Amino acid sequence: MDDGNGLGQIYPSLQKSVYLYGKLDELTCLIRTGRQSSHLSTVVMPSFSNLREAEISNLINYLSHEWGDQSILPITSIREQIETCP
Amino acid sequence: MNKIYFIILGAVILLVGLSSCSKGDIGPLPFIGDRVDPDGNEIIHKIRPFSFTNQNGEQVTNATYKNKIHVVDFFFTSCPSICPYVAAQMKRIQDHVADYGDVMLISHTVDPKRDSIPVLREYAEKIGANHDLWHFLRGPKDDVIEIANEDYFVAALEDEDAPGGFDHSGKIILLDKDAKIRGFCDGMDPESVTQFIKTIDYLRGTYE
Ligand code: HEM
Repeated sequence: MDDGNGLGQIYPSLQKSVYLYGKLDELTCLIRTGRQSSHLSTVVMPSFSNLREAEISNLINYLSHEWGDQSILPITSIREQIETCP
Repeated sequence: MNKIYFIILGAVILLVGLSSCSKGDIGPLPFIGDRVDPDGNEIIHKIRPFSFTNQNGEQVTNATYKNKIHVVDFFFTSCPSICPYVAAQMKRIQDHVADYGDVMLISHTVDPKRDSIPVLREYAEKIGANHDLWHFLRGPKDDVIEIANEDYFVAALEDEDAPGGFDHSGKIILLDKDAKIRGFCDGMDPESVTQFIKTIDYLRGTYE
């Protein structure tokens, strides 16, 4: 798990996650809002709505560096995204 | 003559040394929970008899696990915090003991309301559990919480303020073939689980 490879189908692997290859901007709302599992009705990724722009920025850039294509998401686009999250 | 003694002595020391190495510095395991009551009688601690249902819809009791070493944890599928992490460690243990035949894993849900048998089945399936080796057990909530606290000594309670509505520890417990507690580890700490896996192997060795 520490290596980002998740567990089975329920907890998806971060390694090679499509979000980390070209869809970094969608991570802001995924992290802020959380998400219902597409595999099991009782499982939910919790919302981390208490995280602020800078924290989300650090988190996303860390994920991108560790398991993605190393691209960086500017804090301005995080700020814009937060406005639009459900 | 003396020479022969030295060779034998050397061989004995080498063998003893090797065997203690291969057991990874694990000594005789304690019987956790044994105690003496106020009248001076020794109380042997073991998990009480139970009857629950597993993810295959089968009724299971302590008799089902007779003559098996068990590895036990407490969880619930909607747990948003530590459980996925502990489940990954249980999966690691499952993969290690897969071919043993005398070791089984048990995950007790503390949330029977949401964790119906089909939900447990689906969860087990999708995290890669082997349904014969790793049982996900459902029973009355109060019974499960009681055995967690009183028999397994791992805190578990319903708490509105805890993430997901239950507060419980990420401990993984080792029971011997007589349902006596012989070890614990912290399912949030992979190092501790590595040591625990060696402890399982050590315990198996004591039955040989
Ligand atoms: C801040 C910490 C977290 C981050 C950055 C994060 C990130 C992600 C990402 C990037 C995905 C999408 C993966 C993909 O589909 O390629 C995802 C999905 C998921 N996460 Fe998290 N996650 C976090 C915490 C958690 C926690 C604590 C849980 C505990 C239950 C969790 C449960 C899930 C589940 C169940 C999915 C799959 C949802 C589905 O089936 O579509 N996540 N997470």
